[in-house]
Amino acid sequence: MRHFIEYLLLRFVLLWVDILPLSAAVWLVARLAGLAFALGGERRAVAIDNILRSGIETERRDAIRLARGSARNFLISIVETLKAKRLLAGERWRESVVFRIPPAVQAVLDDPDKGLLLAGGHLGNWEIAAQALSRLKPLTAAARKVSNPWVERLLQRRKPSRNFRLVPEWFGAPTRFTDALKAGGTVAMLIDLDARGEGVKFDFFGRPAATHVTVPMLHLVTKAPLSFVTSRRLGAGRFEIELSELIEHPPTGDKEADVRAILGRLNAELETAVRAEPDQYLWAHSRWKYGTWEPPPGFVPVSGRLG
Amino acid sequence: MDTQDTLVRLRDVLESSSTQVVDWTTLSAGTTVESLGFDSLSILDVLYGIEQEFGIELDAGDVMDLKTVGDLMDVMVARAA
Repeated sequence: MRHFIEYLLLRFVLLWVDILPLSAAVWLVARLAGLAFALGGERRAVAIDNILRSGIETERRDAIRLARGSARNFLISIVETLKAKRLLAGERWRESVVFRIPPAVQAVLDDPDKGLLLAGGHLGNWEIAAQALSRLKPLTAAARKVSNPWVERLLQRRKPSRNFRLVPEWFGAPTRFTDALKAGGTVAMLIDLDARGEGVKFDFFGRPAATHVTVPMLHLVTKAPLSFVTSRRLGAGRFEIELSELIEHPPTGDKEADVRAILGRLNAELETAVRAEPDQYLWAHSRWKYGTWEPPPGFVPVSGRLG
Repeated sequence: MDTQDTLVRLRDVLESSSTQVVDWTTLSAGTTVESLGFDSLSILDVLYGIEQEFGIELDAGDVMDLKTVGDLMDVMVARAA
C-alpha cells in the first residue's frame, strides 16, 4: 500500500512537472526547497555534519546555509532529470550542455572501438551528465534501483532508451560492464557512494569512508582509459560537463597499491570539483557512515578484499 | 604450461580472491568454480591475479560460465597460445 501511495504522489508531482515549463518548475521547487530543508530531519542533520567535518565550512550557520543550498540543488536536479527526455531531445541537448573535453579523451570518444570508463560524483546533475554523454558514445551506467517497483518502472520509462542503458548496481552483472567497454562504449559509475562496510577505507575530505573499488578494478583489468567527469549547473537546464585528462594506471602486481593510487586520483578530482561548487554537492548522503566501522572477527567482505 | 605447477600458482590466485572458507589443499582441476565462493566483483580480482601471475589477459566473459578449475586452466592455455 505504501508503495502505491508513493507512486500516486509521484504521478501527481510529474503531472505538474510536465505541465510547467522548466524555468517555472525550477522556480517553484527552489521556493519549496527551504521548507523541505526545514523539515529534513535526519538528512538535514547529516548534511550539516558532513559539511562541518569536511572543513568546507567551519561555522555552523555557514554550514546550514550551504546545506540549504545543497538541498535546493538536489530538488532542482530532480526536476531537470524528470524533464531530461524533453531537455535533451534530438539536437536540443546542444543548447543545454557545454562539454569541456581534453583532446586525448575526445579521441577515445570518437573511436567506436575504444571503450571509456567514467567516474563521477554526486555533483551538479549527474543524471543529466550521463544522459548527455550518451549523445557522444553509447553509455552504460550503474544505478541503484529505487526500492518501490512501481516508482522504479515509472522513472525508467522517462529515461532515454537510445544509447543509454542503466544497469542495476554491479553485483551479478560484471559482464554487462566489461562487454560494454569491449564493444567500444562508455561505462559510467559514481564513486562517492557509501560502500556500506565493504570496499576499502579511503579518505574523502580527510575522513575515512567506505569506498567501492569497482572503478579501479575495472580499469586495471580491462585497461579501458579512465576519466573523471564533473557536472556543474550553469543555470536552470544548462550544464557544463567537464572530463579530466585520461587516467591510465597499468597494474603493478600490488593490487592494493594500484587501487589506492587510482582512487587517490579520482578522489582528488572530486574534492577539487566540490570545493569549487560546494552547494552543488549532495551533502545529505551518509558518505562517512561506515568510515570508522571495523569488521567483526571472521568477517569476509563481499568485495574489496584489500585489507 | 606444466599442469601441476599451474594449479598450485592458480590456487594462490583463487584463494586470495575468494569470499568463502575453502579447503584449498584439496583444489584440483575437477573442483567446481561455484564451490570456491566467487561473486561478481571477485571475478575481477581473479582476472587481475591471473594476469600478474601468468601474464595472461582474460576478460569477464571468458570465465563467467566456466564450471571447473580445469575449464579455467583450459581457457588460460588457449589464451596463452
